[in-house]
Amino acid sequence: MAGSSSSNQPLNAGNLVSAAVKIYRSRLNQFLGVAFTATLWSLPPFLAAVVLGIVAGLAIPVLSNSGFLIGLLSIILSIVWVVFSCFCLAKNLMNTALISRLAQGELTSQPETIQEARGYLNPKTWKFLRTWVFAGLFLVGASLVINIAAGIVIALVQGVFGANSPLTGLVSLVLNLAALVVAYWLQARVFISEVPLALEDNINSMDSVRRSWNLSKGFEGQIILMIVIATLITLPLVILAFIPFILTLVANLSLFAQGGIPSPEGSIALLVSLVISILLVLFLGIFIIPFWQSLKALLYFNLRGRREGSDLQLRDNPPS
Amino acid sequence: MRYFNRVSIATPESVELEFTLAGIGSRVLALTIDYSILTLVILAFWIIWFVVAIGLLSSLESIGRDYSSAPLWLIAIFILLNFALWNGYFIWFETLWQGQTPGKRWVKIRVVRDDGRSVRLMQATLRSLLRPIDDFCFIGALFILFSKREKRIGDWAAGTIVIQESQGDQKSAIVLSDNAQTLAAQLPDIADLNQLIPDDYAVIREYLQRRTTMTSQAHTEKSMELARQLRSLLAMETTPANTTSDEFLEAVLIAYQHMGDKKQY
Repeated sequence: MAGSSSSNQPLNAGNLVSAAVKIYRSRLNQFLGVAFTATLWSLPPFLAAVVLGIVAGLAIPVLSNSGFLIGLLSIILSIVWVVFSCFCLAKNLMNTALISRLAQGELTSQPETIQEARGYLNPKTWKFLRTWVFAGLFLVGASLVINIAAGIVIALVQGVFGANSPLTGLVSLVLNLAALVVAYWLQARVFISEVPLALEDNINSMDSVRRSWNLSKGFEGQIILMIVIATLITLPLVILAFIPFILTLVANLSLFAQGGIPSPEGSIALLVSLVISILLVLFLGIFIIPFWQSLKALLYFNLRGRREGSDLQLRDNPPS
Repeated sequence: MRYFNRVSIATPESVELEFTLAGIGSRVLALTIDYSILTLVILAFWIIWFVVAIGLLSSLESIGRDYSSAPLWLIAIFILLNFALWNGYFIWFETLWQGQTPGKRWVKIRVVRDDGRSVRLMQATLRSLLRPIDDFCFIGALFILFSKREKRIGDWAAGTIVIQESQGDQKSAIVLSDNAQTLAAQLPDIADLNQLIPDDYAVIREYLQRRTTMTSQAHTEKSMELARQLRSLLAMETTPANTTSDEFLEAVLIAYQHMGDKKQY
């Protein structure tokens, strides 16, 4: 085996991030193209909302004498919009996961072209949406249960010792912190839930989430640490995107501070700057998404090595 | 592919030294740890200073002389000490711990000079004094990301690089069963151990180190797979009776190590 930088040594959190940067840079052009496509797929739902709004606006005066028809039209338009948005989201998720697949090709020295990889993932488009929904529902559900449980305990302690007791404060602090830790811990377990779906054959959405869950077992701390480092590295770009909004907010702060209603111009400026910031986030996301997807691919590759020994292979034939 | 940048340094004695650079991830992690420690230290200092200053001022007041300029002095010293603490932390540790701070030590990275020698007071001071500029708008991070030798401004000025510490064998020791020890003694008679090359040994060793973190299913499958492959490599017709595949792999590891020991003498 080669030295410390050989590709089959398990990596720690810091090295995972550094290595992800390296992969990111090695195929940047390709990744940016795919990330651009993924980002484009997040725009149609907004445009569709505008178009459907116009359709509704035109239709309602015509149908003004029938409340039933207006109701029916709104329901139909809403359903059309939801289905269309789900489709766009699925396409967005598929393209995002595509980057992980391309990164994995780079890691295993079996690179694929974008067309090959997309051809492989296209039939799985809806599965990516389902994986996203499963993982999301799981996280939301779990954190709901944890917070309710913590809330009940805090309420009980409060009932016994009173709201102002230092013990109540301490218990509440500890439990809230614990809930936060558990939330991160769960997040770490489903962090790569779309990656198995993008890379493995014959796998469905539930299996993919389950794979993420099983592979990450015992490595939650490392994964959380890795997420923290990666967040710190991508933070400057996100801050950059919000500069227009923050500046406008600061400029208009005096209005809010006086308790007065901001002038129409001020409100419009705020709204416009917010829209600009959101567009900037989407734009900068094109640069950020490939990094995170490279990181996920690398983490998957590493966890497979650690948990399944996927890279441990002996020679097939004895030396001649 | 190679995950990390490397630099090679030719020493005046014509010895080529190769270092693996630390990488942005490890450096951010080390800095986060150092800043957390430093924040706690400075917070503690503030509390102590506040208590001492209040005590001092009230006792000066009780003496009754004119000490009206005392608060100003206290603030001046306070600012000076803050500056000293902030910079002193990095200078002190990097000088005394040969290029490491607590954060760097934990992450296993180290600052060295461009020629591979360890940093001294001069380099540590320059790195520390330029740190605020590097931190401002994350300029340092950008420099590390986009320069070939991963140097932030402080590194350019001081002529230093940050490298990974050579990874000695710090992994947990492999637990070997008694059965494997017995089997290892018999192996040279029933298997052709000379067929093994260091690569094979490395794979077996890596497996035995990693098996405790592997899923039970993968553990079983990988163990069987490696044992089967190894059996054919060693030209064995059957695996010894009453041994698990893990024990067999452990035995091969021990036998190979013994073989190496014998060769040395």
